[in-house]
Amino acid sequence: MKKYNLLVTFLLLNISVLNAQELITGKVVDIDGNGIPGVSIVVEGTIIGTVTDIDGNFQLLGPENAVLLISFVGMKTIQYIVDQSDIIIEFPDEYKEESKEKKKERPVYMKKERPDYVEEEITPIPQFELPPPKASSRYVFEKSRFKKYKKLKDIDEVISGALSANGYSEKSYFSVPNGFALVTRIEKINEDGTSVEPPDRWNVDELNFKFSISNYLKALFLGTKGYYRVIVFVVTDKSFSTSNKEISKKEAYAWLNQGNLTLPEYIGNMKFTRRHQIVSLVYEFSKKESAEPIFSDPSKLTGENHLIKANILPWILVQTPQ
Amino acid sequence: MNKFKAQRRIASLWFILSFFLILLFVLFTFTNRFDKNSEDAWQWLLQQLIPSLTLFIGVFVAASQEKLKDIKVSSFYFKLTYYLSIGYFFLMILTILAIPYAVLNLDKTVYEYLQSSSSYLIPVLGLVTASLGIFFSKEEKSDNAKSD
Repeated sequence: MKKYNLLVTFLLLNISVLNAQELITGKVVDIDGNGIPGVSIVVEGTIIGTVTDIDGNFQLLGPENAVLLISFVGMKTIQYIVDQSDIIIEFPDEYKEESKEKKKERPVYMKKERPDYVEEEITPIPQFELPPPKASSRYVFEKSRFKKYKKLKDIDEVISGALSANGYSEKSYFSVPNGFALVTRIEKINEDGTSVEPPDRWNVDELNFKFSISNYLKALFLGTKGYYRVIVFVVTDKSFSTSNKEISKKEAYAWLNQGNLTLPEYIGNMKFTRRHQIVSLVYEFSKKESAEPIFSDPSKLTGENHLIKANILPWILVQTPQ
Repeated sequence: MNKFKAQRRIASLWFILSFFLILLFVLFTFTNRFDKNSEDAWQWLLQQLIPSLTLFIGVFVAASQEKLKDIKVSSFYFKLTYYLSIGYFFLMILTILAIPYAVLNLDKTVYEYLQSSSSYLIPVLGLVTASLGIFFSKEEKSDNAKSD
């Protein structure tokens, strides 16, 4: 009898225990409200547990006011006291913050670990005014010739190479949106666009002429006229036109001193994309003896002719075969 | 020296070289060498030449040329006037032919340069004019008579 009573009591106790368990349903979500699949949920102190489905939902049997242990890969285990049957468990923000903190411990740029890595200090260079002043003539380079180049410094290398090969030892850099502008020093040219022989080529403050009977008679009856030129190469992915502003010879001369001596690395490392274009703007002036220089609008020569006479375009075409 | 011949030689010199200078200026005008100062440049030239030229014309009209053939003039005054005139025209022509160099070195317009040349041309012109005056007024009497 006693044994029988013990058995009944045990069963009753079990029944009551069983009856004390309730169906706990819920959903585990992130801070955006999206369900997180594969989250492990275990009733603390028991082996009762489950895993959230693809939508983050779960259900299990647990006692009233059960304490759920919720754990997920890479996350700390959190405790949740069940106070209702259908619960929403949100992984709190600090867990994401914590993972961010963990990321901060790792270097962001692997190259920083390189012993030879020198972090570049970005110093902005003067901006070239866009839209640029009215040009005497212009030329747009064929994009197809530059398709093999990846970065702006590659384009600079081509242009600078052409300039150096033709005596343009001084130049100046300006920034433009997603690119740069390269300005040459003002030079003296002949009427046909060819550069005057040095040293007169760079002596833009004095006019003179080489004596010959024809030159003398020309100077006597027509006067001595000087021609001057500045070439600006603009590399940018922004479409632009020129303004109506006319620039003076003095201002064009001053460009050389206002810009940067070299192309900064942060501009040079910019990508040269299909949207980028390379435009050459030629600013030409003429001056008769003691008169003030006059801006040539338009030039008698096209932009292409100017670049051919300066031997820049032929050089670039050789370097950039199609 | 026969005054008629002497006057003719000096007059020829003046008219021929004046014509050459005027022709140069006409070409300069065609090529717009003087820019906006064309009238001023012509004024500069004419004031150098016209007084003396009109003097010659006046003398030739006023004096009987037949009478002049009998009048002698001192060769000294003739040579003085003649070579001063040559010197004066040499300076004028040199000034004009130097325009291509002068305007570049002095950084002046053509007219401004011509104006500045008056500083040495005018004194020489004064000397020439004075010698012309003496030449026209002086005469040597023939062997029978003397004049002052």
